[in-house]
Amino acid sequence: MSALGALFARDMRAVLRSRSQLYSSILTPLLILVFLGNGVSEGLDPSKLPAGNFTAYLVAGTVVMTSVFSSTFSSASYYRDRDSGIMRMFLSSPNSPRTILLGKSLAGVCIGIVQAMIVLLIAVPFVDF
Amino acid sequence: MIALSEFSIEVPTGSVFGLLGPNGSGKSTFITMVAAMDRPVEGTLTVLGQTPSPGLRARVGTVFQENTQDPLMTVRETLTLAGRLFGLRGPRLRSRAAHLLEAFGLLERERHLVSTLSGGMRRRLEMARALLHDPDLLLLDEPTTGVDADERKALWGALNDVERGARTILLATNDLAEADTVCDLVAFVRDGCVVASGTPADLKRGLRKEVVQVDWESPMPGQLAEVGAWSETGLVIRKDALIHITCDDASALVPRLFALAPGSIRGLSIRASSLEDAYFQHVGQRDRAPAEAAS
Repeated sequence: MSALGALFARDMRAVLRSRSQLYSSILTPLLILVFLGNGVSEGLDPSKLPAGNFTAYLVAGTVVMTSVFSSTFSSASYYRDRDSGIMRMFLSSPNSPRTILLGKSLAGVCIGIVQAMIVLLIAVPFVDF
Repeated sequence: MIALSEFSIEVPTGSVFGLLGPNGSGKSTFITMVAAMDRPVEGTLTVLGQTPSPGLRARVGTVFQENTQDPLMTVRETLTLAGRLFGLRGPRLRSRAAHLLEAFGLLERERHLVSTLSGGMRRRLEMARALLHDPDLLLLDEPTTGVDADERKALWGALNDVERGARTILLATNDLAEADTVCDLVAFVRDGCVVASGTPADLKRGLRKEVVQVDWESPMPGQLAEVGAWSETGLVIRKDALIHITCDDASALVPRLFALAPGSIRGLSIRASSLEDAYFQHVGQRDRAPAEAAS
């Protein structure tokens, strides 16, 4: 359990320290919702948008897209760990590959959920939930 | 492809055992098997009295040939992560990490990112990481590769301070001077086979007493064969731009060399025989062309 928690904490910390990953995961959905959503809404006939505006239609897709990005970054962390050599240290420990996989995957899932929540928070002003 | 064959060694508890061989000779493969990260297809491997298994890894510390650190983690975080992976936690982990950071001269850098450390510091951190869980067996796979002489000295000094014979060490290296200094026993490995083993003193025993290194401008094969045929001469080996000649009495050999090749010898040096010469005798023998290796 200690090993699982250590791997989880380490991957969470790695994401927080990787500024480019952090900023892109928040800024991309923000740009889509604010600029694309508002821009397209302005060009459409509001009477044909029963949910209020076009941004509302983008929210669900943006949440899914954010989750996909998160999964991609999470799987890329395996390659980074292999390249940096730290994966060899993981594998030389008494833990099974299953524990290593689970610890890292849990971190990926958690990051994906947090990012999806951030997208939903950003969407609050645009959508009548 | 067979990586190891006719590979038989016994490492006594508490000893420092050196595996010496050229790159690709199978040293790292053997280390990986002892670390229970790979299995032999045939043969028997017993480590600390048991067959290698994931559980055994808790009693083994490994310094790999390459660094195994995340550059985005700090020095302290690296040790904390390793400690928790090996079952340490709480005050024991903190005190052990602090002790090793101090022993390896990294205490002042504990909050720095690994990416800001020099190559030598990273190797010291590797060593501290491998010793963190106080393993019974320490595997060192070329631990000083790419490290300058000062750092190498600091690293071995720190290891000696921490160790004081506390555990068995298996060292794979191609640094023969290093092995001669630190190892109680060594094995010469070539093409996955152990070609000789014993104490450094045993392996040097069969050698001639001295080595003459000659900077010889374009030696003729016939001249080298003639030198090899002299009674006072042992091995004649070409290494890089120098000719290494082993002998019992350099003062008798040197005048004969100058007489054989007047004007062609640009310089020479004489030194006592070392483990390197024993290594060339056992491992390098097959590399020598007959004309260069008359003995």
